[in-house]
Amino acid sequence: MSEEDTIKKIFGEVIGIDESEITDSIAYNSHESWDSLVHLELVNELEDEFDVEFEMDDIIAMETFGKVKEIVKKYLS
Amino acid sequence: MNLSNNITNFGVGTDIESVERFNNYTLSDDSNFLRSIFSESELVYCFSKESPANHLAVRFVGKESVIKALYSIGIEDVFYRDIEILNKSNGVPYIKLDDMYKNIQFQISLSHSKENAIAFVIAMEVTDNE
Repeated sequence: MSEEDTIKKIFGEVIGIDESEITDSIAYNSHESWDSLVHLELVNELEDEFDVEFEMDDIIAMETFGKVKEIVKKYLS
Repeated sequence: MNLSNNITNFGVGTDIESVERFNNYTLSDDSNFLRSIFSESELVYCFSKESPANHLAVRFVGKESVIKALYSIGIEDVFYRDIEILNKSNGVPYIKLDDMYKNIQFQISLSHSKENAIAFVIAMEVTDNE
């Protein structure tokens, strides 16, 4: 499974939406399930999976699925 | 609060959350997640209670409220783990923040029912008269 597929899988599981419905524009606080607590769960799952620790600024910047992917990849590069 | 201080700016923050969402967190299974939000003292306190979820939820909304109150006065670099919500000996909650924010004073009120937890915070930026 590619890094992007893994990010999408984790995102779908934590946010609670089918992977087929995930687009880059899905945004924090605009999708009904993606609130602050779920956001922290998402961050925790991604950190565990990829063995990274995100900076606070990056956690806050993960405002869309597209940004989540971009930030995770930055830590893996 | 020391009334000899001048309040130069203030912000308010509030938040509400369902207690049920905290029911399934355990120290054994969710250690990393819980420790990314709560301090050791907070976790010891919450998990010493018969219903940790109530206490985790109310501290979570308290921290959210602190972040919102600070954000409204232009302080954007404080995150959950930087904030401790502790209790005085009489049970009144108070906020502990790094010394670099010693010019900020807080008033916090927390409440929870079986279903929901709610918090209200006033953050006051102060300068000493002296």
